[in-house]
Amino acid sequence: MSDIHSQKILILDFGSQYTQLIARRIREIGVFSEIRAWDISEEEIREFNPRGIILSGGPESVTGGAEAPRAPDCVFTMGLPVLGICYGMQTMAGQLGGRVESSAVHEFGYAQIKVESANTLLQDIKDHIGTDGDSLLDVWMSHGDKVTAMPEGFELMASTPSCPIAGMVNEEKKLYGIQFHPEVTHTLQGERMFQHFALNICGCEALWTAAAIIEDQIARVREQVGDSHVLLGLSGGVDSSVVAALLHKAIGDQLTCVFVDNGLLRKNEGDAVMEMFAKNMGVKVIRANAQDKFLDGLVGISDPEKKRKVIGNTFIEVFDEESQKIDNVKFLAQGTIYPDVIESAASKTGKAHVIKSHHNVGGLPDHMAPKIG
Amino acid sequence: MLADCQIIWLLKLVEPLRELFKDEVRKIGVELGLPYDMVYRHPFPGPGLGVRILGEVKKEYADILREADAIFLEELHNFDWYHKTSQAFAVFLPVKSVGVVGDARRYEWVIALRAVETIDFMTARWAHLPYELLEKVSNRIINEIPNVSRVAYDVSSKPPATIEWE
Repeated sequence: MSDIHSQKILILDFGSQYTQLIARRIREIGVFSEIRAWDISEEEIREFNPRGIILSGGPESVTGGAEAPRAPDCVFTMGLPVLGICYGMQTMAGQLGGRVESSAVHEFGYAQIKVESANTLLQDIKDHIGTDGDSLLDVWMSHGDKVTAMPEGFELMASTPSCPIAGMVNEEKKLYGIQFHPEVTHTLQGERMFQHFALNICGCEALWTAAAIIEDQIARVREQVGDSHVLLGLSGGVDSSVVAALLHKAIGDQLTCVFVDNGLLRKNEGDAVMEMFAKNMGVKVIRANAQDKFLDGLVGISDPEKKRKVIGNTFIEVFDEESQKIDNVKFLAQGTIYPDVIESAASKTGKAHVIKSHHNVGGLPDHMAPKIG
Repeated sequence: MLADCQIIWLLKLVEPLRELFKDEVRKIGVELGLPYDMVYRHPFPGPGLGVRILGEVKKEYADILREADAIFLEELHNFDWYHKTSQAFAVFLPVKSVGVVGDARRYEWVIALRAVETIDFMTARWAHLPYELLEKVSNRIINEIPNVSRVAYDVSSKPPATIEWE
């Protein structure tokens, strides 16, 4: 089996609200991608070892002088394909000797761009044919600044009447800049542009598929836990359910789930969870019927934050009590997903690349779960 | 404070979904054989009905809310609206209101219904559910749960309102 992480795209985040969408689009076409902060070091980029780099949009202005975020210079000299989107295109232009100017007019919404030259990124992508036989594309724009002079070696790729340099390309160095946003669905053929970039230009294979992700995770979990036992708080929600199914497939009886009935569940929730996981799938599930304990703890409390705290602490007490009944437990499984990782890193450090785990039993929100480490 | 004896903090973490987006989690969920209904269900808050019963939580309130909530979800499925909303639930309001059922005066609790459409849960619009659906849910809740005299539909969007009431 090929390593599904071996061919990947690095996305440098300049703060756009669409950055996560870029990563999702790349993965939808079957290529692994990760988001890192724009000020990543050259060493970290080399360690990540991407086949190509995408520079996201962002709220800053390249004309903001020394304060303006820049891509590490090595991004343009490593010989890797680079796709700059919106701010990403502007910083590419600025850093390579072109010119970016602020404009009083903010362009936001649909636009129709005219394809100005043959290039790999937009090859065979046409939405409409103009009266002069030009290829026209429906795209989504959201910008104030724009590139007014391309760096040396670049050719015009696309234009609109209000944005004469809406796309620029240096095919030899595989550098592409587009002012519009291919990651939002309003750009009709955005997905094909990402296919062209990731598959054709960067040469990645589409290895990132559901079946391959499962196989990869199963191998990693087996390696991590060996013959130890793993504990999982099963809530009935999507994330913990998928973790349960995955771990059951990976390690079978080494997994024990604890389902806590706190008396505050939806109708038949407890029975439905037991039916599906314990009965149908054969997962080991301990059902802790702790309704009274929770409801007793809540007597006389009406403040929402205090209620959350009581429920969170009681959950941990009950969960811990149940976990003591299982022998040889060394691991706690959690349904942490990638957006949690990005957001918790960003909120703690302002950067997306320092990533730290914390215990969050049963998927309780951060402020409910006391945490260590 | 938490007791020192708690062992869960000493355990090492296994996080097999750590590099996946939600849509990828769902795709591998169905690939692993979990039912579509489970994998595409709405999110449910950790404190559960505890934050959907306003003010003090009592078993009596939770039991009423559970029934009302189940009726609402059942009819959303029947009308094929469940998957058109991002989150839908009932809320228990600890206030009493007057109603008339048959010839009898009823002085009972109020249930609010909440349904929203959202892409990312950062902003949300209240769902424009069909009147027929709301009518059916309201009738069923008041007829089938003796302790409810009134049903209201929440038409607040986020912002300024949050999705959950607490």
